[in-house]
Amino acid sequence: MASKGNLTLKSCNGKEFIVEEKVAVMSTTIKNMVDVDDSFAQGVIPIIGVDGKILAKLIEYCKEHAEADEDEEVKSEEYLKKFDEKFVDELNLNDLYDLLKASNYLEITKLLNLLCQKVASMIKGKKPEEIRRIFNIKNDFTPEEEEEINRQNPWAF
Amino acid sequence: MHIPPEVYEKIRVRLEVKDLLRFKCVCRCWADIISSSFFVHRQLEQSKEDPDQNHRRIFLIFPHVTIPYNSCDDKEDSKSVSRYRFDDRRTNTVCMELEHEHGQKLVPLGRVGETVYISKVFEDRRTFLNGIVHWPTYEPSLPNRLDFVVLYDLSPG
Repeated sequence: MASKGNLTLKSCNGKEFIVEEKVAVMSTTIKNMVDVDDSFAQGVIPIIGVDGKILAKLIEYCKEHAEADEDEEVKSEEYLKKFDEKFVDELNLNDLYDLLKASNYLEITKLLNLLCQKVASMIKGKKPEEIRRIFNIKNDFTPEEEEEINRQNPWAF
Repeated sequence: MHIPPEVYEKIRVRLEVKDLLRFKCVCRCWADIISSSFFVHRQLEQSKEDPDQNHRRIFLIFPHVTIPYNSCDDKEDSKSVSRYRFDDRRTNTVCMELEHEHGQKLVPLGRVGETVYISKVFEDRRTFLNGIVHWPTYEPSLPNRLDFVVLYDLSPG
């Protein structure tokens, strides 16, 4: 069991992480769980649908940001910005999408915003067909309709 | 790859106008969302938070002249706004063309500004011109007067 001030988070593949409460409650979902039900604070909090690898990543991010929130002198804005950049740059595509889903589910707003910005810059300048491939979207336009949209904004293509 | 709809939304509001116009070709769903006034507002809010990107995103025009609906023709029905256009690229003046039975009349609306105020957007009066989307908007307290034009991107590239 985690000691006072710590929480135990359990990934969907059974990995347990003991983290400081201030780190865990960066997630609004976890914060709500702990606030509503005291037993979560003493027991193990299951993190559904998030595996150990992704949970470790989430904790790494939350740890840096929770510490920065507590002491701005040790971890300046500049430092955090660098940390964020490095954090997203080192992610492969699969991890990026898994983290997107996990941070959305766990409501870690800062991280979710950071990841969405990353995806936005990734798809910047891409062609519509590349977007369909990346997100597995079916094109439901007729060729004529597609042509019409092209015609409206030729400079965008 | 499955991404929750609310996450897609967070990604899209972080895109530049040029990308957004092109991504209307992705599928009907994307086209509807990107064209909606709700999305335009969300994207405007987002771009305000990101001053570096402002010049690539949404601009508002604040007219120096209110549209004189009753000054160019007697019959109210015969007047309609046919389109907006740049009168002068150099000074970025935007004009509104009013069509009536004796021809067309150009009404200068104003210059490129950074006013960030929208009251209501006339979704159905959306106009495409020079690759730029224009939405006339109005101030509810002044009926029959078009007060603002919302534009997507004045300086492509």
